[in-house]
Amino acid sequence: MILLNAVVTILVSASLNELLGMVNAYQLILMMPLLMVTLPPNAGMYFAQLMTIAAFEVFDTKPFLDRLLRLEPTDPVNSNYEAVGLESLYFLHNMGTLVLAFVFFMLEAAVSLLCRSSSHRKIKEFGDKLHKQLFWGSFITLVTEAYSMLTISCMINLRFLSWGSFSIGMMSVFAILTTLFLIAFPAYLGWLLKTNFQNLELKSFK
Amino acid sequence: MDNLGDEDFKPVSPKPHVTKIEQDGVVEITFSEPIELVPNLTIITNGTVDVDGKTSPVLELEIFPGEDSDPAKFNFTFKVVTQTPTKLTLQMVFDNARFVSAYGDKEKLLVYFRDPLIFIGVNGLVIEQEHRNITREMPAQLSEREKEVQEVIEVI
Repeated sequence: MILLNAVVTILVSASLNELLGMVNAYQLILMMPLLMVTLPPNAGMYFAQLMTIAAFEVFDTKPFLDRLLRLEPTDPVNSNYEAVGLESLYFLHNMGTLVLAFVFFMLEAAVSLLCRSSSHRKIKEFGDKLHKQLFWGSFITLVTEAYSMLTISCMINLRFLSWGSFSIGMMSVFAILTTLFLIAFPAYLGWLLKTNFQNLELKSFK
Repeated sequence: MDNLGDEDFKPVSPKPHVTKIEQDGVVEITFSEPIELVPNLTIITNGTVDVDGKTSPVLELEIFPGEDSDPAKFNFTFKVVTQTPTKLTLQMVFDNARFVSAYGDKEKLLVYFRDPLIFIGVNGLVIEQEHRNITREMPAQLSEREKEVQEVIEVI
């Protein structure tokens, strides 16, 4: 009973931030097979299973994207990449379910903008609240958690840049823009925090 | 303006692609366009066709050995597990699975669609000649013992 109580207490009291931090470390460990190592088959299967958790792979978005963008399937970089779930050369394919998280964020931003432009007081307040949460809440968490996956997915697509068709070209543009964003994002955050360092403790800033 | 979007409705011949090779020998082949289902799946594994006066299997699988590999160690059989209009799933069974892509240069799986009349698109078009031979790198394969352990783990 004591042990059970201790486990429940740990589970309940553990914050989501700690859990997400663990997922970050988990992602780095699972990327190890990308180094040129000979991966035993059972280890490959083990990594593939764990990667579905680390990459937040809730369901397979690949068939949907293929149908939507009429993308031709590609081979992975090599079987080690395939083992960790990077089964394609296309940026959006390798992102998996994270694509949906970014789409959801865009929708959230659109709702926030709409609500803020409303003349109704309560809707406007809701819009303001959503707007504050948007960047410092969901967006930063999403980008931080997906940073390693985003980087690797972009690098693979950049390595095999192609402009063969509209969809493939669009995938290349996505990869280039996301790479620029990934470089600029930490620099922007650093600059923002540095310039507002004195105000961090102020209630209005929070 | 009348021709706008005509390309979208132009029938396209099915294009096969090896989408996945699992460590337990399961091979997934997808088709870009839906194909007619073969009524009897044994035709795919046992059927033959005459090509240039030579009898060949309708669907032939071959292992192309890596630089340091011994081709004699890659004997295998295969069977069709399932077929849907867009996917064909095969099961390869190796005599010595542990030698496949075990070290150095990886082995490649070559798939030859010898009989174009077996895999016909729902739109009536056959696989074009240039897409009848497809390939993919083989991942290292589980040995029989490892497969048994894996099955036990899955049951647990």
